[in-house]
Amino acid sequence: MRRARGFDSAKVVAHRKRLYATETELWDEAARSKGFTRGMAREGWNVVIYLKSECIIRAKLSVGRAPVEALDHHRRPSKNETGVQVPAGYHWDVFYPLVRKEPVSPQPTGRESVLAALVHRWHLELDPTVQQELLR
Amino acid sequence: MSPVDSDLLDQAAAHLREALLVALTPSLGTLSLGMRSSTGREIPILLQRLANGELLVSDAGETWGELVMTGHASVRPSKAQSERLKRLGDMYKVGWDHGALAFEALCTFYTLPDAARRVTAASIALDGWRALSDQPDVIRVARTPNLSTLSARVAEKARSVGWHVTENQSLAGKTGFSWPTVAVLDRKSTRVGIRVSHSKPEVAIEQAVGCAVDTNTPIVLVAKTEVPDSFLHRAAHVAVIPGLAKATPRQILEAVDRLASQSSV
Repeated sequence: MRRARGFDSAKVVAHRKRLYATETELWDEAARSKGFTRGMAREGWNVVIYLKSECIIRAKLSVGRAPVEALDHHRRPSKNETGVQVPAGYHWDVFYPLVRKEPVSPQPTGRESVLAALVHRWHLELDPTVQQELLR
Repeated sequence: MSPVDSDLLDQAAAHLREALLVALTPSLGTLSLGMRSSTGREIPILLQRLANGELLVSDAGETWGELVMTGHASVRPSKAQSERLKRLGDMYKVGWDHGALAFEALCTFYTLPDAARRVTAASIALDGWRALSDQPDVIRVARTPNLSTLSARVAEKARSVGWHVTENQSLAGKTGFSWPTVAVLDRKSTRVGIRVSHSKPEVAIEQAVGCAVDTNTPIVLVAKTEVPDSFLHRAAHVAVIPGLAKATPRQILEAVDRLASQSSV
């Protein structure tokens, strides 16, 4: 028997932030934001790529337990170690050998270009399924 | 209050007002009160209009993001960490959103200034995690191997192949100076010492040669720094293993065997 209204997937969740979002959408978002991990700290290295929000991707490359380099996104400008202003948007957080912030240029405009920048810089081989998951 | 002081206050107030006006420029959908985190990042105020007309103010999750990036936290906080974050939020009357990993507060347009200040304050308080966490400097912790661990690993491996090992022993030299070593390995009439040095390569090798000549014992030197190739095979009775982080017990024992066979010939 078909339910009249409000079957599970279309149920409007009384979520205080997203009053219009369906439960399915929220679960999907939560599942995707867990991100993609390759390697293990115990193996000596790992890469984590995850969705910070609908449009922002973050990624971190660590060796041992120490971060070596990360792709970060700030909505506000920041100052790096030497007091030089780094504009808002994507930048590389480099931790080794010298701590610094390098703005990404040109600035990625979408998630595809963020992933392209990551693949290019870290010589990653991303599975198509992982790529789809992050871009979906 | 003296007239000079009131002048100073007026000037300072005008200056601060100007600075605040500059900081208040919108950027990528956010505002800022001009406060910065310890890394120099402006604390953002992200505004979302809710369907019921209220505003949701949050710090966009960037403070937690920075802790993740610098290796002080994992992407998803554990349950215990979440509880602590909630308690921290309670202190400033803001909520912790586990999904967005951000402090947030509900407000109306009129109570926005207060909510924005509380969210910013909580966000800066969270930045203190950097100093309060168990690993205040993750990079340095991970880069410096534990010396006692190294000597223990070497000792274990050496005993398994028939060496008699004395850890952390000083060798007495002919000059009367006692040379500290990580371990001394004895087998029949052969004796080899292992030294670890944090000094520059030339100093470390000089000390190792001094130790070898003074004590008449071959020395395996594990140097913390990278050693130029031209330095590696120059010294007699000294084997140099560059890069402490890379030195394995097996590598060290191979060097010990090489020196032992040379000295017995």
